[in-house]
Amino acid sequence: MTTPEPEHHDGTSDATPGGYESNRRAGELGFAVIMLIASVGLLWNAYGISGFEALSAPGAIPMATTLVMSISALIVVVRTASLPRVTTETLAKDILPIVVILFVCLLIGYAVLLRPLGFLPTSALFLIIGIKLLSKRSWRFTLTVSLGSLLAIWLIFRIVFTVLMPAGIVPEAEFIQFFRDLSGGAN
Amino acid sequence: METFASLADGFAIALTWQNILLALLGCFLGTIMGALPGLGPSNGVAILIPLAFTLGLGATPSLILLTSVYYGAMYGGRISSILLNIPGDEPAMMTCLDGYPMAQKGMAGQALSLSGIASFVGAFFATWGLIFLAPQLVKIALLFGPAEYFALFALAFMTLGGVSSTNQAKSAFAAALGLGLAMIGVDTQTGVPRFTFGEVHLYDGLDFLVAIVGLFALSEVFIFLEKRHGAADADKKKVKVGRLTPPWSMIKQTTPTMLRSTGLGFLAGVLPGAGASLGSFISYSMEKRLVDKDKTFGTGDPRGIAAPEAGNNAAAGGALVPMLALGVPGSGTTAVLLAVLLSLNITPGPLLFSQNPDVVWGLIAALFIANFMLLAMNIPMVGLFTRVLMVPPRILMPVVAMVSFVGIYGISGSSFDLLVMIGFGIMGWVLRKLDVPLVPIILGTLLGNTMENNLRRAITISNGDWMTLIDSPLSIGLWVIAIIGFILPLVIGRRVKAQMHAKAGEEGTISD
Repeated sequence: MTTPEPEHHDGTSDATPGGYESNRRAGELGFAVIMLIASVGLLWNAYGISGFEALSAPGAIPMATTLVMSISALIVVVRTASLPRVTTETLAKDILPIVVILFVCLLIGYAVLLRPLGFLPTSALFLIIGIKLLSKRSWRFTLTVSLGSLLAIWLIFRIVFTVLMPAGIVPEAEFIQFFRDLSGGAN
Repeated sequence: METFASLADGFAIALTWQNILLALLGCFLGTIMGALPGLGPSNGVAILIPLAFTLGLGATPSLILLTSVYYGAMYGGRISSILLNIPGDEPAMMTCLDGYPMAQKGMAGQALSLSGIASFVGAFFATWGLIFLAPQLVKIALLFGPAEYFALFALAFMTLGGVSSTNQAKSAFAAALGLGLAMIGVDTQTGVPRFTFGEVHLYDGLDFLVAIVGLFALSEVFIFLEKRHGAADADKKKVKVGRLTPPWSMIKQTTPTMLRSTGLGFLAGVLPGAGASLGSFISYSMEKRLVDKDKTFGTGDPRGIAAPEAGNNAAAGGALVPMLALGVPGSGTTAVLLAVLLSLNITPGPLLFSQNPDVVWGLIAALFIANFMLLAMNIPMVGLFTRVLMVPPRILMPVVAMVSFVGIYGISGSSFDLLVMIGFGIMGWVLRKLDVPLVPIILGTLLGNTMENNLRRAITISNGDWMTLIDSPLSIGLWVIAIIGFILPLVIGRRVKAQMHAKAGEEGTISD
């Protein structure tokens, strides 16, 4: 087994050796600038809490932390700007791939629709679209896998652990009661 | 001995059918998480947190489940190192060096079971270390006042970047960001809303479980989606696992190595900011220096497998010492575990041992049980775990995302929290791509409020005199350690890191 394309570093390293120490990735400088602007904005917001009233005032610590954020973001910007660009990467392919953006939209859609539509239809939609888009397999495969895993998740969480999920348009409670009645209705 | 009586009580708590089943489940899931390339212990625990909560478990059973996942992930990381030459997680990096060559020689089965035994030895003795060291630390910690606590937290932050951090400015940014996140909500001492931007949902503050599941679990999903871990199974070679039991002579040959590495790894785990990766690294390098007379390390020497595996599992046990005794986590995974404790309304720290002895000793007993289970599970079930490596992540990921959704919704019942979680997921994903570490963010979010309260309390007690922070010998000592811990890595960290990379780079294995 060979190294999976070292130039496409995926960032799994998390605070540990990894990435490009001596190069700047596509979009990294832009991101560092955004970090800086956001930090300064938050510093302003923190100043608005109580101003320079006293050191133990509610705004003192927030101001201190946002100040640290601003300073370290500034250092990051300066350092990043002085590094040479990584030449093998492009913004669209390596930093913001379309598949992740799509998936984020799916997730947001899920969170928004969950209440009005209910758990079962929303999850079914989410899993079918998600698995179809990602695996690019046949509809039959997609439907089997997504509905199968939905059924498993629903059985485990709703029936076994009795986690309450929004019912929405599906008459879930009546449905469960129907099966309870069928199986004797003891409880 | 009081310790043994407490331990016996612990076993009495841990040995119920429910807890044993939970430990079994945790070990199994943990090993799978560890074996999947990319998913490490901290992500594994984060992904399974919602499960623990939706099960409605009490403190001890949840902890038993999650620490079994932790230990299991530590065990599991080695499987893909040995079979595929791709480390399952960071600490298993060094295991590739001798594990894969051994697998190529057709001794994969022996390598796997030997590493299982080494993991067992490391974790077993480290748990004993935990038992004896933690109470001693508690005795010191009971002397702490607000000023000392503040110094202790500062120490945790200053040493966190530690040897492994690439860029101190990015670590500092992350820590400050985490502290800032902790400030969100209404200030408990004055009732002033802070960083809420007029959003009523934020007045209660952020639920850090939402933040953790977003940062660790969802960002992991995004990274998986992008690629490329998937590439690992695309051209799977059939590795012959071969004979499963290592010959007696091999175990005898590696025993001293295991014991030495356990000691070193445990120390690395206890020290703040070092963690399991360093534990496995220093164990391997020391063994290489001590016993590699024929230059067989790197060509499939069994001792080269035993050393890092004993080292990283011992470090996993060691990292629990400061978390339980001081309430200050030494690594990413223990930070995640700390979050779980806090949301169960248990405050780790010196008082934990006197106020919730059932939790502490039940947990410790569970560690022993999990350890034996893992040993028993890992040797015969290696075949099953290797097959898990072949599940295409692109199908797994939507399901993982959905499980975190259901879990978080089950805890809070609010779709606002789901959006916050997605926000954290995106943030974690972008930050990781640009090498901003996530662990300081979590630590900041967790400790921020306690740290601020202690600081303000100390200042109020002394009528606004800031010198109170360095007034006692204890706090001066803590500050000194903090400063050394901050400066030392700046000096030697770069060198250790370069070596770590050079070592692994020689073999061309690292997929970071």
